[in-house]
Amino acid sequence: MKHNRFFHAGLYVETLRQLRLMGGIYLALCLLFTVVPALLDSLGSATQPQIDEFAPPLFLFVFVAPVTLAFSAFGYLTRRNASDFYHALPMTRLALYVSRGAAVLSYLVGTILLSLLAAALTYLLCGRPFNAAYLPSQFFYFSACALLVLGCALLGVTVTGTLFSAFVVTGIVLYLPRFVCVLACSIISGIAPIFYVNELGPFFNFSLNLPAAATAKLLTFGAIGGLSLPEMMTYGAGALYTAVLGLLYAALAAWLHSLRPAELAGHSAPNRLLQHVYRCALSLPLFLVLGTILSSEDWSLRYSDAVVFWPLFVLGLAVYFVYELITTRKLRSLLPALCVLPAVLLIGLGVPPLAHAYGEHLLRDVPAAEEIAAVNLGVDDGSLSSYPEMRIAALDLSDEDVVSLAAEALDKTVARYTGGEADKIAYEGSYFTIGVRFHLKSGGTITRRLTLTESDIDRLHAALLDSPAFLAAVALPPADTILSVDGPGWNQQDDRAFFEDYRVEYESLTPEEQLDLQIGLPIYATGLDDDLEMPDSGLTFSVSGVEDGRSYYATYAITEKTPQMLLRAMQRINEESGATAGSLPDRETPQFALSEIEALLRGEAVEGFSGEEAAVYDPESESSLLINADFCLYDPGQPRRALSVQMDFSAGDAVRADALELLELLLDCDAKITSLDESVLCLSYFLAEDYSAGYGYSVQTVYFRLTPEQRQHLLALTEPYRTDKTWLP
Amino acid sequence: MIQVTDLTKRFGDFAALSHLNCAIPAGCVYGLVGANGAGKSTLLRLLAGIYRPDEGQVLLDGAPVYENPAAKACVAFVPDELFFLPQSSLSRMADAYALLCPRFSRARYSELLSAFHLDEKANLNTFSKGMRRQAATILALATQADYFLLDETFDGLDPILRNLLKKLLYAEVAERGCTAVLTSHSLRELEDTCDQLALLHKGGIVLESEVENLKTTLFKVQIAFDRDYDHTLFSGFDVLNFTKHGSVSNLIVRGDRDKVTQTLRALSPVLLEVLPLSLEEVFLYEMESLGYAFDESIR
Repeated sequence: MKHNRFFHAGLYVETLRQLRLMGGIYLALCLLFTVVPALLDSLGSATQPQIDEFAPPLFLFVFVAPVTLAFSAFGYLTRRNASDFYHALPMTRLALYVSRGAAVLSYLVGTILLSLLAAALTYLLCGRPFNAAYLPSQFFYFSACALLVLGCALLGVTVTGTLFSAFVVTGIVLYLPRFVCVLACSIISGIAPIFYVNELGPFFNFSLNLPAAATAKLLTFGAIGGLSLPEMMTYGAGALYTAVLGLLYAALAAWLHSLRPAELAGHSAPNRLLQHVYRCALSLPLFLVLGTILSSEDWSLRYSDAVVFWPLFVLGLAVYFVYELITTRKLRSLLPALCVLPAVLLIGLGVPPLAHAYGEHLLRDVPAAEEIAAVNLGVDDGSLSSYPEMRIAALDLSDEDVVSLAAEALDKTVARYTGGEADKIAYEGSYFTIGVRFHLKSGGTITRRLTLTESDIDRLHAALLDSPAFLAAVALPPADTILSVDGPGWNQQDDRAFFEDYRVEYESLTPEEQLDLQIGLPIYATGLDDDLEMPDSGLTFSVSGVEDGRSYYATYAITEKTPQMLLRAMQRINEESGATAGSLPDRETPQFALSEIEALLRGEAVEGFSGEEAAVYDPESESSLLINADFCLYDPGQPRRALSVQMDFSAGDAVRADALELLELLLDCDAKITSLDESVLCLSYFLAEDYSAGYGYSVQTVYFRLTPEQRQHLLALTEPYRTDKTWLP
Repeated sequence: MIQVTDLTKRFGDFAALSHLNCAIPAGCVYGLVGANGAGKSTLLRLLAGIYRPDEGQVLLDGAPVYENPAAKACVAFVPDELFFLPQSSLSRMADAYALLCPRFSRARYSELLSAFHLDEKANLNTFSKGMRRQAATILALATQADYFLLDETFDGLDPILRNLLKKLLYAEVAERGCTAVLTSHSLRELEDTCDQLALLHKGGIVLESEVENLKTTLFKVQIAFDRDYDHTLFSGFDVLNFTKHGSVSNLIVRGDRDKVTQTLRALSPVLLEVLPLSLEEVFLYEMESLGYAFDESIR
């Protein structure tokens, strides 16, 4: 008979059967709390769900289910009779572990997959648009989280023999390393704010460990944890790290399971040494916090710290000894525990001062300009950043001006911190902060957070515009890396097609023109005095995606620099707003009230139906549509002009008459835009959306085609009420 | 055949088994008797491949059993603390055994089920201690193993079921030539069941022999002379125990009963009576001769 040493199909099936109740409950709950909210949301909204709205119960599932399922499947390691039964089965211990672990993993992955598919199916059946490209990201994110938590639970249950100690060790493995890192990093950052803790290696990038980061974010209300939840879900490097770490833990647990004596069942630890280790590890976080308090006050406690210190100290001791009592149930075991207490105190009180000293060392490590070979502007610290930032950060800039400017800025920054200006830098906002990576001629690399003055920024910007490498870096993200495009299209498919057409026009532009179309560039790329070109509402592409495991986002403007896309976007926006009518019905214009003006304009001119029923009242009595309206004039071959109209109706009937005339003028205009060879007027106005329910406003846009006479009339009519702004071509 | 060589198993500082040696031939019903903590259950767990030996080895048909699926497939182990899946029935357990044990026979399971008259659909939690042991035994026997390792075999069984189990075990041994290793802390339970008996004491086998040999080679002699004498008179015999009250002496002697009787008769005693020993007495005297105190708890 052939015996597979790695896997036993029979045991796998049997374990699936044993876990079917717990696994079935998890699946049912996940499906219920995924499908019902998706259904309700779809009935009330036609907007595309965000990436973190697909399957909300999975956020809890990936923490709870791996632990409970693993403890259930491997519970035999905690009971002697069950341990005898499973260890007597005709298979190797590795096959026993793999077969049962595979069954647990099947439930986890199956539930995640089915929940996501159920959400997608619900949206599909309800006709609600959703971004299918999010599904793989979510699946990978949830699976990676579940895998890491499972790996920790397997390790916990393998190296202990009771459920309590297994639970404690699971928590220690999952959170203690991250806790120590965060604490050390915060001490170092506090001493040396110029330092990027990611320099210490990927392990110190808090965002990489997705479950730990999510837990920290939840417990600290977002203060710790790095990325936001949607960002985490598309953070490829984080998911990869989390999954690999989970696999490593699971592999380590497999090895330990093979070595584990069956007689360990019922005992909290395999030996006294590990019992000491578990107990010390459990209480270590509290003693580390104590060490941090002490080291930050030069080992002398102020009253305000003492009221925290002593209760924490007592709590640390309580955790230390209570764990021993719970796991051994013997008072006499407290004596050996007492002997080991100095060790955990030494570590707890000793690590923070080491981090402190390291921070001070970093402030002294300042290279001179002659020692620097090149610099990267912006730091690729693994967190989400804009696509152009990612590209720029990848550039090795060796221009002499840039290098010497960076070296000088580093020197000045250190001087500011050592000179006691830390609070000024942090709170007064008188400096611009940028990350710079220095490539030293000696071969090393250091990354520092620099504070720059306005003059520094201007000099840097000027130097960058002379750098061909910098200008060449401003490219659009490749199509195969894009997860989502939000633009003027009807839906995701439309937007993607629009964006690819936009790409053709974009790539025909010069690098300087391309730079002008990018929104949200870092300050050193745009310069302080740069008059940023803001497109009309709706005339942007917001793109997000993943490249080389890194998530990115980017926003690109649609302007007269991309005329074909501009025309199509105008047409598309007018179609959406229903602004197809070009003329008013024959009737006499009454003496409109403000609200009626709004209603008429919105209802008849913009949306093409009678305004009486569609009247929307502005909650602020002094404001009205016209007062809030922004016009933008596109003249062929001319720079775009923004016309901000401010009409104060309380000034008298003349203003009201002008408003009505303006209204008549707009209602006479044609909303069918066929080319940009004649003037086009853009009207952006606020639209109250279901104000009675307390929802706010959205900005609506409509385009009108103007004859030369209408254009002249408009400019003349609005002359007393407007301020203009023109963007340089 | 089971071959145990120099086997040692420690739990922390405590040595449950220490340099234990024994050989259990195929087709034998082997009894392990000993007080609580003597190492019986530990030895069975080592034979079942549950525990890893600290020293020495356990061979089943020449192959080590620990981490050897092929060897473990030949073993069925019924521990003292029985295990059943939570909220399961006997039928559910049979399904599990069918998936996990390659030689599990549904037909044999059905036969055994009807012999023991158990309800296979009932929740095992509702079973009495004896019924649970019957259920575990049914499952073990249905695995068609070559080696049955039964810890505290008759615990909780009434006399009728004990006999039934003994009959079934004999049938397995006789028909399939399998080997059964039974443990008990009571010598009387194993006396009429086993071919061979071993006494475990403080982690070692202090006595191992075929039951028949034990009973025939050790016997009690009551002897009296009309002259003064002491124990030196019997220096030519293998005397395990000698007591004298007046002119009458009691001797526990090992050897060929007829030859011993003939030789003693030649000494012209006024009283000579040769009496058989119970198995319990045999163990008592054998252990005393080895320098161990006989533990009352194994009677």
